[in-house]
Amino acid sequence: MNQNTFIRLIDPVKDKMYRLALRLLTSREAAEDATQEVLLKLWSRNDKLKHYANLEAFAMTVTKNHCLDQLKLKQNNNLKIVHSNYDNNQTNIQVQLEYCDELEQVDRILKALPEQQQLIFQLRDVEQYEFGEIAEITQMNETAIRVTLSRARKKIREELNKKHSYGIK
Amino acid sequence: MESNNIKNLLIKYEEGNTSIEEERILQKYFTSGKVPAHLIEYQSMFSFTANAREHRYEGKILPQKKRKRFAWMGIAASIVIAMGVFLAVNNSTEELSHQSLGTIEDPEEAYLKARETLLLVSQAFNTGKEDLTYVEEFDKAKNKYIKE
Repeated sequence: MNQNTFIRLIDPVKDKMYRLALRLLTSREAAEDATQEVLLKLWSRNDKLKHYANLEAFAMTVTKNHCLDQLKLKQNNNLKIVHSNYDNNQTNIQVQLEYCDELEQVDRILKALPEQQQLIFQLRDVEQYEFGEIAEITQMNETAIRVTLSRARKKIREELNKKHSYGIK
Repeated sequence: MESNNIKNLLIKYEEGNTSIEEERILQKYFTSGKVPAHLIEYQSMFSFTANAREHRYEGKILPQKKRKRFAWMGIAASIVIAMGVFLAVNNSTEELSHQSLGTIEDPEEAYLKARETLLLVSQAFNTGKEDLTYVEEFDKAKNKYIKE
């Protein structure tokens, strides 16, 4: 596979890879770096790429694994504080203003979900992959994917509901 | 009728049983036009996913030029260093072989010369040592007050 073929094949996938990295990692910079690294990784194995029937699924799998590895590295390096057991309603006004925006609220809720749920939600609801394709990317079976997806969707809706009715009910 | 249909789709959606087509219908419904107040969360969700789909990767697919330039610079630098080391080593060996080291063949003369040199060195040492007599004064003063 020469360079032009590679670029032509990977071009439609690169945005999806970047968005997946953006979902799993914390910042745009981290996501861009991760995408760049994965692209190079793929290019360095370009002689083997033609053996993969579905290059897109393979590229997404590599991106997923790379991002999860990055997260593991980070978790080893830093002490992480997880606010999963309680809700802190006394965030300061600055923070509340920042999250006023609806979309950012959804983003924040998503970030608090388990990685697996974030991943499936991203692949299905943002990238609109069929379940078969998601199964290929994540190496999970379709039933498990549906269950994870359902949990993610319900959780997001519930959290949004809580936010909306906060102070009313 | 439509709202009933949407309601059913939403139930299926939450169970993870909608098809891509049905999800597109939901997305269209929630991102265009007005939405009943009790479904407002779905509007946030669907506009979020529509928005998230718009992010684009701005970087290059393969940063070829940059890499190549650095590779050439590395090669050039290593050649320069190798040449430098080579020339330096060459130069110093040449100097050593051509220089007269002043070796004296006659043992008598060598002995005299060595003696002279060593004497000179020891004299130089002694002049240095003269200054140390002042230190003895310190010792005397110290012994006056501090008895060991």
